Amino acid sequence: MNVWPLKFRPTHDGAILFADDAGGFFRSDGAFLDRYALGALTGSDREFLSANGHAFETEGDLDHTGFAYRWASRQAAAGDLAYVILVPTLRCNLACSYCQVSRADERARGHDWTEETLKAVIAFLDGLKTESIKVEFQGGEPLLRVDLLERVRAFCRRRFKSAEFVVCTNLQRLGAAEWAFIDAPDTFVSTSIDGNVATHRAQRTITDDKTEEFFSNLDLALERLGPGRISALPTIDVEAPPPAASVLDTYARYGIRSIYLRPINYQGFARKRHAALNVMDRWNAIYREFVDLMIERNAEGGETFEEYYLVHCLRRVLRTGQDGHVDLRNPNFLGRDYLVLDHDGRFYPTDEARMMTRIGQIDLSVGDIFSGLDTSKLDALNAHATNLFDPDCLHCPYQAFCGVDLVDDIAREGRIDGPKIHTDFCRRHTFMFDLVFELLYSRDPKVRRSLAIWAGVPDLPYSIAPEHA
Amino acid sequence: MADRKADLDAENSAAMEVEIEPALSDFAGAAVTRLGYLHPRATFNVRDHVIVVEGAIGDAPTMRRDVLHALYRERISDRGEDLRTRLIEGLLSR
Repeated sequence: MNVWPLKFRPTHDGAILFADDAGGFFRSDGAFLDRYALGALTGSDREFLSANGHAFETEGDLDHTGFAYRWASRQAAAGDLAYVILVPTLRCNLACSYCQVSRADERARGHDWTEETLKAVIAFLDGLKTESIKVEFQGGEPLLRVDLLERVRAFCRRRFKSAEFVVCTNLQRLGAAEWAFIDAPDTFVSTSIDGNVATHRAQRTITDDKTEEFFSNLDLALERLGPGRISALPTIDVEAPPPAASVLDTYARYGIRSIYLRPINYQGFARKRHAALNVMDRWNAIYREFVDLMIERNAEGGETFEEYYLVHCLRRVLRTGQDGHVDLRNPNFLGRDYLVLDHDGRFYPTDEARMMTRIGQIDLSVGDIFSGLDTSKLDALNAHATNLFDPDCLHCPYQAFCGVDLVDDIAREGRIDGPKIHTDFCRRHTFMFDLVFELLYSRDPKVRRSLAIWAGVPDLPYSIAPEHA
Repeated sequence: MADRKADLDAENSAAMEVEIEPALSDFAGAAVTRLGYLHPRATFNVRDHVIVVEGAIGDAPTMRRDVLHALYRERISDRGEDLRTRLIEGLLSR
């Protein structure tokens, strides 16, 4: 019998988690690890490994083929470019404390697409192979140039068989034209609610008038669009987080039950200063508090909560093909199926790459709308876009569920060839998958109820998390 | 280098030895290389049939476990390399 290589990691409660390259996993103990690593498996061990898809007899048999299929299904296949993030203006009518690098003053000149740029954008979209497009308008505040958004949307509706639009807006100053734009059924709104009213005012709107304006517009948007077309996320200040209960209450009031918790994404010197304050550990503690509270609330019945990214990680463990989130997939080729186009016509592989270029850390632009994509730069990055052969990831049981974020590595570590295990990306995702597996192996009925809801099944059987004695 | 030595002296000057099972002896070199960057405040050297750990050992049972696991991981990776290679080649050549 041949056993596929098993990666392992001690768990919080003294057991050991094992996983193979195709994402099959189980828990056992140190005695099994000794037997496996030293080539002394018992009959019972072999029976378990064979029954659970971790072994095969001969190459090409059903067990081998099944494993090959599962392994291949774990690899993200980038399709045609079908998701574009457009930044028609960098100007914004708010001045949030943590957003200085990605916005310009509302009255500033030279931060909007020119007529020439708009025409080039439309020509670029016209040249795409895809028949189905998703366009995300970011800024700045994109609704400051609703005229540009209208022209792009009108073109896409004509050109593609299906088109979906997302406006990332602060919902501050909406006139008739802006409301008409977001009223359309193919258009979705993504906004920020920074926890509760007090935190939102402190971090974003500053004055009572602007705070009132935002929450009134949010009420009106929910009334006109319904909660299904509005998503919101809080940006949490690790040094002054709002109480978890007040955040859940605020989101519940607006009928938003999926919350994507994110810490402030500091840039440049601010990032270095905050990195020294052990932000990661503090963030993880805050995050855990939110998840525990969601589990408690979900156990009470009624409407339920989910943390968007935890659910995504959970689903990546339980299923293949969960590659829709561009920050977590493997391989994660840049510049293939999604692209960012800035206010000055330059392309970026990700929004983080745009930020880094803007603060002068490194130029990660990959061409522009007039001369096309810089494929040589993309190829240089993409040579490292997989975790399959990384000397740390190779030993990690989370490898099959995890991914690669080269731009984040450059942003935080200044390079992409250092030990992955020391990167912010690795530490963050090790925490996430530790949490996923802790929950999967929990016997607490409250946890199991939340897991079933998050996994989208009526009940989560214990057999989904195998154990080998 | 001098700073690092001073750190080591200040933090923990203890030493410990972890015996290498014969089945793992071929993997000691790879294991100490990896342990060196996983535990940058400690040093790891292979002597005869032991790995000698010096410097900031921290919790001794945990360090002993980490050394053993590093050896295990290198052996598992080595033993699985052929299976992995044939799997990927098989899938990509179809």
